[in-house]
Amino acid sequence: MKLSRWIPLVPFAIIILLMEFLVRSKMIPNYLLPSPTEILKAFTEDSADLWKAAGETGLSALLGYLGSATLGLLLGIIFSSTRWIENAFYPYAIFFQTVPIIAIAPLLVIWFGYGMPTIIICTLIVSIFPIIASTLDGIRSTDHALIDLFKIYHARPLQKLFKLSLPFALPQIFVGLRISAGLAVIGAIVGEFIAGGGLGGIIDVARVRQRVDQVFAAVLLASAIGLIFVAGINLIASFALRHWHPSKKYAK
Amino acid sequence: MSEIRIQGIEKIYSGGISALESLSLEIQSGEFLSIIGPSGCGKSTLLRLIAGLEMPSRGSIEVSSRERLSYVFQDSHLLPWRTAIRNVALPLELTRMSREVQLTKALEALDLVGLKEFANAYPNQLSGGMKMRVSLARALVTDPALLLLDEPFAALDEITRQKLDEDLRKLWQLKKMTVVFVTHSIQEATFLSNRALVLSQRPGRIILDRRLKLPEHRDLLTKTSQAYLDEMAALYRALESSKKEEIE
Repeated sequence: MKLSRWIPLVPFAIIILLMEFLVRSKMIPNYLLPSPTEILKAFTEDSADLWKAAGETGLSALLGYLGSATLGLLLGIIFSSTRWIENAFYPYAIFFQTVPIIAIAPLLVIWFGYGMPTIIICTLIVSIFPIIASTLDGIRSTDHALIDLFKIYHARPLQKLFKLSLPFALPQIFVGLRISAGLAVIGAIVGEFIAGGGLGGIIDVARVRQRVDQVFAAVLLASAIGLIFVAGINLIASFALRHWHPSKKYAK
Repeated sequence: MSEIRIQGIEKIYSGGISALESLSLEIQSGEFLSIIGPSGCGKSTLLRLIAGLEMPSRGSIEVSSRERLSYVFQDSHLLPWRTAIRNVALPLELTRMSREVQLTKALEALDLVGLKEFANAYPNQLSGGMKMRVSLARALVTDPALLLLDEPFAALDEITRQKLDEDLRKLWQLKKMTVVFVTHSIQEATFLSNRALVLSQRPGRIILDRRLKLPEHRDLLTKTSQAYLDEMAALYRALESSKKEEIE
């Protein structure tokens, strides 16, 4: 493996050492910033709680994400099929992008109660718009010559969708899926702030008890879940799009 | 027997831009016709009208084998997620032919353009000339009676282009189809066709409709013959005269 791949670890190590130094030398009080060793301690002391919470958050985020991927793809396809449907409903899809989720989360609790359903819906609301938008734009940007080709051979609308438009939109759809993967975890954490449980719940409780070490431990786990999501979708994308980009196997 | 009969067509796009003006033309079945003209003269529009991709604003077009026509675009326009053979099989797939027959026919078509060994290569593994050949095979797989080509080899280098021109002529002789070939290259038009049409600046009108007196068999040496140079000169003169009209 190349040395350059490990370069990001250098600033990481510097920050860790600096944090440890600043807290130990009491330049920054440890109720504001925990030292890395304290965070590590929080990890080991509360490991059972933290991992359980991470599992809950991961599951909520995953279910919400699968929901938004399915629904977003479907809505993108429907919007792309007819101009008037897009004109009529797309503005409402933008609503999902602009709605301050933290403000409507209490409303969701009133409607769906405390716990997972509310958190999943939160995740879905936060992560659906990029998928709708990228699907719609991807399908709309289908090669016009190929649309003509399908017309010449009298392709039916569904043939055009599955053999041309959708595969053609795939690179763009994956852009949306990647953005949404990160958003899904954010949505789940925000949902948990209000509806309880998971890493969001732990952060909320630790905040009240002024346990910055626990907050940091939970935040690190939450971003780790986000990274796993994004890495997963990248893996799927690079497999699905493996024929898109030039490779030099046969070309002379 | 006439393959295409065009009577007094006009094409006016929204915004009032007129692409073609009172154009009449008859194309016999089995002809190899080239359409030449300055860019924006409406030659692509004419091809799209013949293909039924657009409707004329006025006049009529009859195409006797509209159900058996194929179209080749300016670039190869292959589907990147399909192998060469599956790209070629696409038109057959849209007509619900059995998978086995599709692939047999697709392989035959690939063989025609000399790419049988590359059946399982993806477009991103092929050179520009090879991709254009796959595109040509995709057009031939339906065994068309009428082949329409819109500046198909314009993006290729000179040598590749010459080779493809020769192959296209051979395929035309072999398949006995009608070919309408749009190009902005007078050399290519002279080399390929039996009849050449020169269009004026937009809105396109026919300036010259000429039968080329050249041997049936053509290769690189054809390009050195006096007959070839004479035919080319006639086409150049027609293009030049259209420019003068423009200035007056």
